[in-house]
Amino acid sequence: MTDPGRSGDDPRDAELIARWKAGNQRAASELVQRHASALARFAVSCGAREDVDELVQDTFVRAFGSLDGFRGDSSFRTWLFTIERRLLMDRRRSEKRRPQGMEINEGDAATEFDALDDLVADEAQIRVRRAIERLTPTQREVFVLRVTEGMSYREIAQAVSTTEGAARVHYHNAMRAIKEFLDA
Amino acid sequence: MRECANGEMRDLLPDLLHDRLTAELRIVVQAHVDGCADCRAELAILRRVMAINVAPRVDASRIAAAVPPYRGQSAWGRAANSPLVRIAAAILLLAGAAAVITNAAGRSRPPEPVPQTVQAPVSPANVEPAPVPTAPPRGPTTGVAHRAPMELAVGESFHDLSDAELRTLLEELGKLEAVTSTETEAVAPSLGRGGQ
Repeated sequence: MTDPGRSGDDPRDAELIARWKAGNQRAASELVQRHASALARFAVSCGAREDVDELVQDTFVRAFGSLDGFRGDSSFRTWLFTIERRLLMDRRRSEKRRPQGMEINEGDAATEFDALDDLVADEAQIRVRRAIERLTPTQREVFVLRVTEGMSYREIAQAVSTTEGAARVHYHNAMRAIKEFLDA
Repeated sequence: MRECANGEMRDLLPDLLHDRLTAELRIVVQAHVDGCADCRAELAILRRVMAINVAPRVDASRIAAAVPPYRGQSAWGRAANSPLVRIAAAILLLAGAAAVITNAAGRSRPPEPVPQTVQAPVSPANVEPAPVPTAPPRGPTTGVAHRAPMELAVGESFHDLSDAELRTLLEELGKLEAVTSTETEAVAPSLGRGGQ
Protein backbone atom coordinates (compact mmCIF):
# COMPACT_ATOMS: atom_id res chain seq x y z
CA MET A 1 0.00 0.00 0.00
CA THR A 2 1.43 3.34 -0.93
CA ASP A 3 1.15 6.47 1.10
CA PRO A 4 -1.29 8.70 -0.74
CA GLY A 5 -0.30 11.77 1.20
CA ARG A 6 3.26 11.96 -0.01
CA SER A 7 2.82 13.22 -3.51
CA GLY A 8 -0.93 12.99 -3.79
CA ASP A 9 -3.40 15.51 -2.48
CA ASP A 10 -0.95 17.60 -0.57
CA PRO A 11 -2.72 19.69 2.08
CA ARG A 12 0.13 22.19 1.99
CA ASP A 13 -0.57 22.87 -1.70
CA ALA A 14 -4.26 23.40 -0.97
CA GLU A 15 -3.41 25.79 1.82
CA LEU A 16 -1.01 27.76 -0.37
CA ILE A 17 -3.57 27.97 -3.16
CA ALA A 18 -6.13 29.34 -0.71
CA ARG A 19 -3.65 31.91 0.55
CA TRP A 20 -2.78 32.99 -3.00
CA LYS A 21 -6.47 33.43 -3.76
CA ALA A 22 -6.73 35.56 -0.65
CA GLY A 23 -4.14 37.90 -2.13
CA ASN A 24 -0.92 36.50 -0.73
CA GLN A 25 1.54 36.50 -3.63
CA ARG A 26 4.23 34.85 -1.51
CA ALA A 27 2.08 31.73 -1.47
CA ALA A 28 2.47 31.54 -5.25
CA SER A 29 6.24 31.82 -4.83
CA GLU A 30 6.24 28.93 -2.40
CA LEU A 31 4.18 26.79 -4.77
CA VAL A 32 6.67 27.53 -7.53
CA GLN A 33 9.56 26.62 -5.24
CA ARG A 34 7.92 23.34 -4.32
CA HIS A 35 7.30 22.11 -7.86
CA ALA A 36 9.56 23.93 -10.31
CA SER A 37 12.45 21.46 -10.04
CA ALA A 38 10.25 18.44 -10.69
CA LEU A 39 8.71 20.13 -13.71
CA ALA A 40 12.14 21.02 -15.09
CA ARG A 41 13.37 17.47 -14.52
CA PHE A 42 10.34 16.04 -16.29
CA ALA A 43 10.78 18.44 -19.22
CA VAL A 44 14.42 17.42 -19.69
CA SER A 45 13.57 13.75 -19.35
CA CYS A 46 11.00 14.16 -22.09
CA GLY A 47 13.54 15.66 -24.43
CA ALA A 48 13.17 19.41 -23.89
CA ARG A 49 16.61 20.85 -24.45
CA GLU A 50 16.01 24.55 -24.79
CA ASP A 51 14.05 27.06 -22.80
CA VAL A 52 13.24 24.69 -19.98
CA ASP A 53 12.96 27.70 -17.69
CA GLU A 54 10.46 29.29 -20.02
CA LEU A 55 8.48 26.06 -20.28
CA VAL A 56 8.23 25.76 -16.50
CA GLN A 57 7.23 29.41 -16.23
CA ASP A 58 4.53 28.98 -18.88
CA THR A 59 3.26 25.98 -16.98
CA PHE A 60 2.88 27.96 -13.77
CA VAL A 61 1.37 31.00 -15.45
CA ARG A 62 -1.19 28.84 -17.18
CA ALA A 63 -1.90 26.87 -14.02
CA PHE A 64 -2.44 29.94 -11.87
CA GLY A 65 -4.48 31.57 -14.61
CA SER A 66 -6.93 28.69 -14.67
CA LEU A 67 -6.79 27.66 -11.05
CA ASP A 68 -10.52 28.31 -10.67
CA GLY A 69 -11.09 25.56 -13.22
CA PHE A 70 -8.98 23.13 -11.21
CA ARG A 71 -11.51 20.77 -9.67
CA GLY A 72 -9.10 18.90 -7.46
CA ASP A 73 -9.70 15.53 -9.13
CA SER A 74 -5.94 15.12 -9.04
CA SER A 75 -3.27 16.70 -6.90
CA PHE A 76 -1.96 20.16 -7.79
CA ARG A 77 1.39 18.57 -8.67
CA THR A 78 -0.18 16.06 -11.06
CA TRP A 79 -2.19 18.86 -12.62
CA LEU A 80 1.02 20.83 -13.20
CA PHE A 81 2.54 17.82 -14.99
CA THR A 82 -0.57 17.56 -17.16
CA ILE A 83 -0.28 21.21 -18.18
CA GLU A 84 3.45 20.97 -18.82
CA ARG A 85 3.01 17.85 -20.93
CA ARG A 86 0.44 19.64 -23.10
CA LEU A 87 2.77 22.59 -23.53
CA LEU A 88 5.56 20.21 -24.51
CA MET A 89 3.35 18.57 -27.09
CA ASP A 90 2.33 21.97 -28.48
CA ARG A 91 5.98 22.91 -28.69
CA ARG A 92 6.87 19.70 -30.54
CA ARG A 93 4.03 20.27 -33.00
CA SER A 94 5.14 23.81 -33.75
CA GLU A 95 8.74 22.63 -34.17
CA LYS A 96 7.59 20.05 -36.68
CA ARG A 97 5.63 22.68 -38.60
CA ARG A 98 8.64 24.96 -38.80
CA PRO A 99 9.97 24.46 -42.35
CA GLN A 100 13.64 24.93 -41.59
CA GLY A 101 13.41 23.17 -38.24
CA MET A 102 14.90 19.78 -37.72
CA GLU A 103 12.27 17.11 -37.34
CA ILE A 104 12.68 15.21 -34.14
CA ASN A 105 12.26 11.49 -34.57
CA GLU A 106 12.47 8.87 -31.92
CA GLY A 107 15.81 7.73 -33.30
CA ASP A 108 17.22 11.22 -32.87
CA ALA A 109 16.58 11.05 -29.16
CA ALA A 110 19.86 9.24 -28.70
CA THR A 111 21.67 12.55 -29.15
CA GLU A 112 19.55 14.53 -26.73
CA PHE A 113 21.76 14.22 -23.72
CA ASP A 114 25.20 14.20 -25.27
CA ALA A 115 26.20 17.31 -23.37
CA LEU A 116 24.93 15.88 -20.13
CA ASP A 117 26.95 12.73 -20.66
CA ASP A 118 30.06 14.77 -19.86
CA LEU A 119 28.65 15.44 -16.45
CA VAL A 120 27.79 11.84 -15.81
CA ALA A 121 31.03 10.09 -15.10
CA ASP A 122 29.59 6.68 -14.49
CA GLU A 123 29.60 4.55 -17.64
CA ALA A 124 26.71 2.50 -16.33
CA GLN A 125 24.65 5.64 -15.87
CA ILE A 126 25.41 6.75 -19.41
CA ARG A 127 24.14 3.41 -20.67
CA VAL A 128 20.97 3.75 -18.60
CA ARG A 129 20.45 7.20 -20.06
CA ARG A 130 20.85 5.84 -23.58
CA ALA A 131 18.36 3.11 -22.79
CA ILE A 132 15.78 5.65 -21.57
CA GLU A 133 16.30 7.76 -24.68
CA ARG A 134 15.28 4.81 -26.82
CA LEU A 135 11.90 4.41 -25.18
CA THR A 136 8.79 5.63 -26.93
CA PRO A 137 7.64 9.07 -25.74
CA THR A 138 4.77 7.64 -23.69
CA GLN A 139 6.94 4.92 -22.17
CA ARG A 140 9.50 7.53 -21.24
CA GLU A 141 6.94 9.87 -19.68
CA VAL A 142 5.40 7.07 -17.63
CA PHE A 143 8.77 5.62 -16.60
CA VAL A 144 10.19 8.97 -15.53
CA LEU A 145 7.11 9.94 -13.54
CA ARG A 146 7.08 6.55 -11.84
CA VAL A 147 10.77 6.27 -11.07
CA THR A 148 12.01 9.83 -10.74
CA GLU A 149 8.94 11.46 -9.26
CA GLY A 150 7.62 8.40 -7.45
CA MET A 151 4.09 8.95 -8.70
CA SER A 152 1.46 6.24 -8.43
CA TYR A 153 -0.09 4.71 -11.54
CA ARG A 154 -3.29 6.61 -10.79
CA GLU A 155 -1.43 9.93 -10.74
CA ILE A 156 0.51 9.04 -13.87
CA ALA A 157 -2.69 8.09 -15.65
CA GLN A 158 -4.13 11.51 -14.85
CA ALA A 159 -0.98 13.30 -15.93
CA VAL A 160 -0.58 11.57 -19.30
CA SER A 161 -4.30 11.08 -20.01
CA THR A 162 -4.42 7.32 -19.96
CA THR A 163 -5.65 4.55 -17.69
CA GLU A 164 -3.94 3.08 -14.66
CA GLY A 165 -3.68 -0.28 -16.42
CA ALA A 166 -2.11 1.26 -19.50
CA ALA A 167 0.34 3.22 -17.34
CA ARG A 168 1.37 0.00 -15.59
CA VAL A 169 1.90 -1.76 -18.93
CA HIS A 170 3.96 1.19 -20.25
CA TYR A 171 6.12 1.11 -17.13
CA HIS A 172 6.87 -2.60 -17.33
CA ASN A 173 7.47 -2.48 -21.07
CA ALA A 174 9.88 0.39 -20.50
CA MET A 175 11.73 -1.53 -17.79
CA ARG A 176 11.96 -4.59 -20.05
CA ALA A 177 13.31 -2.50 -22.92
CA ILE A 178 15.92 -0.88 -20.67
CA LYS A 179 17.09 -4.27 -19.40
CA GLU A 180 17.36 -5.61 -22.95
CA PHE A 181 19.43 -2.59 -23.98
CA LEU A 182 21.74 -2.95 -21.01
CA ASP A 183 22.18 -6.68 -21.70
CA ALA A 184 23.02 -6.15 -25.36
CA MET B 1 19.08 -9.61 -17.06
CA ARG B 2 16.18 -11.70 -15.87
CA GLU B 3 12.81 -10.55 -14.62
CA CYS B 4 11.44 -11.56 -11.23
CA ALA B 5 8.31 -13.66 -11.54
CA ASN B 6 6.67 -11.73 -8.71
CA GLY B 7 5.08 -8.87 -10.63
CA GLU B 8 3.50 -7.39 -7.53
CA MET B 9 6.88 -6.95 -5.88
CA ARG B 10 8.42 -5.49 -9.05
CA ASP B 11 5.52 -3.05 -9.17
CA LEU B 12 6.37 -1.75 -5.71
CA LEU B 13 10.10 -1.20 -6.23
CA PRO B 14 9.75 2.50 -7.18
CA ASP B 15 7.58 3.01 -4.10
CA LEU B 16 10.27 1.37 -1.98
CA LEU B 17 12.79 3.73 -3.50
CA HIS B 18 10.64 6.78 -2.71
CA ASP B 19 9.65 5.53 0.72
CA ARG B 20 5.99 5.52 -0.22
CA LEU B 21 5.13 2.20 1.36
CA THR B 22 3.45 1.65 4.66
CA ALA B 23 5.74 0.28 7.37
CA GLU B 24 4.33 -3.24 7.11
CA LEU B 25 4.56 -3.38 3.34
CA ARG B 26 8.05 -1.94 3.35
CA ILE B 27 9.22 -4.84 5.51
CA VAL B 28 7.62 -7.35 3.14
CA VAL B 29 9.07 -5.79 -0.01
CA GLN B 30 12.50 -5.30 1.53
CA ALA B 31 12.55 -8.95 2.63
CA HIS B 32 11.70 -10.01 -0.92
CA VAL B 33 14.40 -7.81 -2.42
CA ASP B 34 16.98 -9.16 0.01
CA GLY B 35 16.31 -12.67 -1.25
CA CYS B 36 15.78 -11.87 -4.96
CA ALA B 37 18.79 -11.09 -7.17
CA ASP B 38 16.56 -10.01 -10.08
CA CYS B 39 14.76 -7.41 -7.97
CA ARG B 40 18.07 -6.17 -6.57
CA ALA B 41 19.34 -5.68 -10.11
CA GLU B 42 16.14 -3.85 -11.07
CA LEU B 43 16.38 -1.66 -8.00
CA ALA B 44 19.96 -0.78 -8.98
CA ILE B 45 18.70 0.38 -12.38
CA LEU B 46 16.03 2.50 -10.73
CA ARG B 47 18.65 4.14 -8.50
CA ARG B 48 20.74 4.98 -11.56
CA VAL B 49 17.70 6.46 -13.28
CA MET B 50 17.08 8.67 -10.28
CA ALA B 51 20.71 9.70 -10.19
CA ILE B 52 20.86 10.76 -13.83
CA ASN B 53 17.56 12.64 -13.83
CA VAL B 54 18.94 15.69 -12.13
CA ALA B 55 16.79 18.76 -12.36
CA PRO B 56 18.37 21.60 -14.32
CA ARG B 57 18.60 24.90 -12.54
CA VAL B 58 15.49 27.02 -12.86
CA ASP B 59 15.05 30.55 -11.62
CA ALA B 60 12.11 30.02 -9.29
CA SER B 61 11.97 33.65 -8.16
CA ARG B 62 11.73 34.88 -11.75
CA ILE B 63 9.02 32.32 -12.47
CA ALA B 64 7.12 33.32 -9.33
CA ALA B 65 7.35 36.98 -10.36
CA ALA B 66 5.62 36.09 -13.64
CA VAL B 67 2.63 34.62 -11.83
CA PRO B 68 -0.14 37.23 -11.88
CA PRO B 69 -2.07 38.01 -8.71
CA TYR B 70 -5.40 36.31 -8.26
CA ARG B 71 -8.17 38.34 -9.87
CA GLY B 72 -11.08 36.20 -8.91
CA GLN B 73 -13.46 34.66 -11.32
CA SER B 74 -15.78 36.56 -13.58
CA ALA B 75 -19.53 36.06 -13.30
CA TRP B 76 -19.42 34.05 -16.52
CA GLY B 77 -16.58 31.92 -15.20
CA ARG B 78 -18.43 31.24 -11.97
CA ALA B 79 -21.57 30.34 -13.91
CA ALA B 80 -19.65 28.05 -16.24
CA ASN B 81 -18.19 26.20 -13.27
CA SER B 82 -21.55 25.79 -11.57
CA PRO B 83 -22.80 22.18 -11.74
CA LEU B 84 -26.38 23.39 -12.23
CA VAL B 85 -25.41 25.44 -15.25
CA ARG B 86 -23.48 22.51 -16.69
CA ILE B 87 -26.46 20.19 -16.24
CA ALA B 88 -28.77 22.75 -17.82
CA ALA B 89 -26.39 23.15 -20.75
CA ALA B 90 -26.23 19.38 -21.20
CA ILE B 91 -30.05 19.11 -21.18
CA LEU B 92 -30.33 21.92 -23.74
CA LEU B 93 -27.75 20.22 -25.92
CA LEU B 94 -29.58 16.89 -25.76
CA ALA B 95 -32.93 18.55 -26.49
CA GLY B 96 -31.43 20.32 -29.51
CA ALA B 97 -29.91 17.12 -30.79
CA ALA B 98 -33.21 15.28 -30.34
CA ALA B 99 -35.05 18.01 -32.25
CA VAL B 100 -32.58 17.83 -35.13
CA ILE B 101 -32.81 14.02 -35.28
CA THR B 102 -36.61 14.09 -35.18
CA ASN B 103 -36.73 16.68 -37.92
CA ALA B 104 -34.34 14.69 -40.10
CA ALA B 105 -36.30 11.47 -39.55
CA GLY B 106 -39.55 13.22 -40.50
CA ARG B 107 -38.07 14.41 -43.77
CA SER B 108 -36.75 11.02 -44.79
CA ARG B 109 -39.97 9.13 -43.97
CA PRO B 110 -41.84 7.99 -47.16
CA PRO B 111 -45.33 9.42 -47.69
CA GLU B 112 -48.03 7.38 -46.04
CA PRO B 113 -50.05 5.32 -48.53
CA VAL B 114 -53.52 6.60 -49.27
CA PRO B 115 -55.99 4.09 -47.92
CA GLN B 116 -57.83 2.35 -50.69
CA THR B 117 -61.46 3.09 -50.80
CA VAL B 118 -63.40 -0.10 -50.49
CA GLN B 119 -67.06 0.10 -50.23
CA ALA B 120 -69.73 -2.40 -49.80
CA PRO B 121 -71.03 -4.03 -52.93
CA VAL B 122 -73.16 -1.66 -54.74
CA SER B 123 -76.77 -2.49 -54.95
CA PRO B 124 -79.14 -0.63 -57.15
CA ALA B 125 -80.63 0.94 -54.08
CA ASN B 126 -77.53 2.66 -52.90
CA VAL B 127 -76.12 3.72 -56.22
CA GLU B 128 -76.27 7.43 -56.35
CA PRO B 129 -75.60 9.50 -59.37
CA ALA B 130 -72.00 10.35 -59.48
CA PRO B 131 -71.19 14.00 -59.41
CA VAL B 132 -70.60 15.45 -62.74
CA PRO B 133 -66.87 15.61 -63.18
CA THR B 134 -65.53 18.87 -64.29
CA ALA B 135 -63.52 19.00 -67.43
CA PRO B 136 -59.82 18.70 -66.79
CA PRO B 137 -58.03 21.90 -67.47
CA ARG B 138 -56.21 21.92 -70.74
CA GLY B 139 -52.95 23.46 -71.57
CA PRO B 140 -49.69 23.49 -69.74
CA THR B 141 -51.18 23.69 -66.26
CA THR B 142 -53.01 20.38 -66.50
CA GLY B 143 -51.86 18.87 -63.27
CA VAL B 144 -55.14 17.01 -63.03
CA ALA B 145 -54.68 15.53 -66.48
CA HIS B 146 -51.94 13.26 -65.13
CA ARG B 147 -54.00 12.03 -62.27
CA ALA B 148 -54.99 8.36 -62.39
CA PRO B 149 -58.32 7.75 -64.07
CA MET B 150 -61.13 7.98 -61.65
CA GLU B 151 -62.03 4.64 -60.15
CA LEU B 152 -65.55 3.64 -59.41
CA ALA B 153 -66.27 3.39 -55.77
CA VAL B 154 -67.07 -0.30 -56.13
CA GLY B 155 -63.35 -1.08 -56.16
CA GLU B 156 -62.37 -4.70 -55.55
CA SER B 157 -65.83 -5.77 -54.51
CA PHE B 158 -66.97 -5.22 -58.08
CA HIS B 159 -66.30 -8.93 -58.67
CA ASP B 160 -68.69 -9.89 -55.91
CA LEU B 161 -71.67 -8.41 -57.65
CA SER B 162 -74.31 -10.75 -58.96
CA ASP B 163 -75.36 -10.61 -62.59
CA ALA B 164 -78.51 -8.75 -61.68
CA GLU B 165 -76.57 -6.20 -59.67
CA LEU B 166 -74.14 -5.75 -62.52
CA ARG B 167 -76.87 -5.17 -64.99
CA THR B 168 -78.44 -2.59 -62.73
CA LEU B 169 -75.11 -0.91 -62.25
CA LEU B 170 -74.50 -0.77 -65.99
CA GLU B 171 -77.86 0.73 -66.52
CA GLU B 172 -77.14 3.38 -63.94
CA LEU B 173 -73.83 4.08 -65.55
CA GLY B 174 -75.47 4.26 -68.91
CA LYS B 175 -77.67 7.00 -67.57
CA LEU B 176 -74.60 8.78 -66.29
CA GLU B 177 -72.92 8.49 -69.66
CA ALA B 178 -76.01 9.92 -71.24
CA VAL B 179 -75.79 12.93 -69.05
CA THR B 180 -72.09 13.49 -69.38
CA SER B 181 -71.52 12.13 -72.82
CA THR B 182 -68.73 14.46 -73.54
CA GLU B 183 -66.84 13.69 -70.39
CA THR B 184 -66.84 9.96 -70.08
CA GLU B 185 -63.16 9.72 -70.55
CA ALA B 186 -62.39 9.70 -66.89
CA VAL B 187 -64.95 7.08 -66.00
CA ALA B 188 -65.41 4.80 -68.97
CA PRO B 189 -61.88 3.32 -69.20
CA SER B 190 -62.01 2.26 -65.64
CA LEU B 191 -65.33 0.67 -66.14
CA GLY B 192 -64.09 -1.06 -69.26
CA ARG B 193 -61.19 -2.61 -67.40
CA GLY B 194 -63.31 -3.44 -64.45
CA GLY B 195 -65.65 -5.43 -66.63
CA GLN B 196 -63.04 -8.01 -67.48
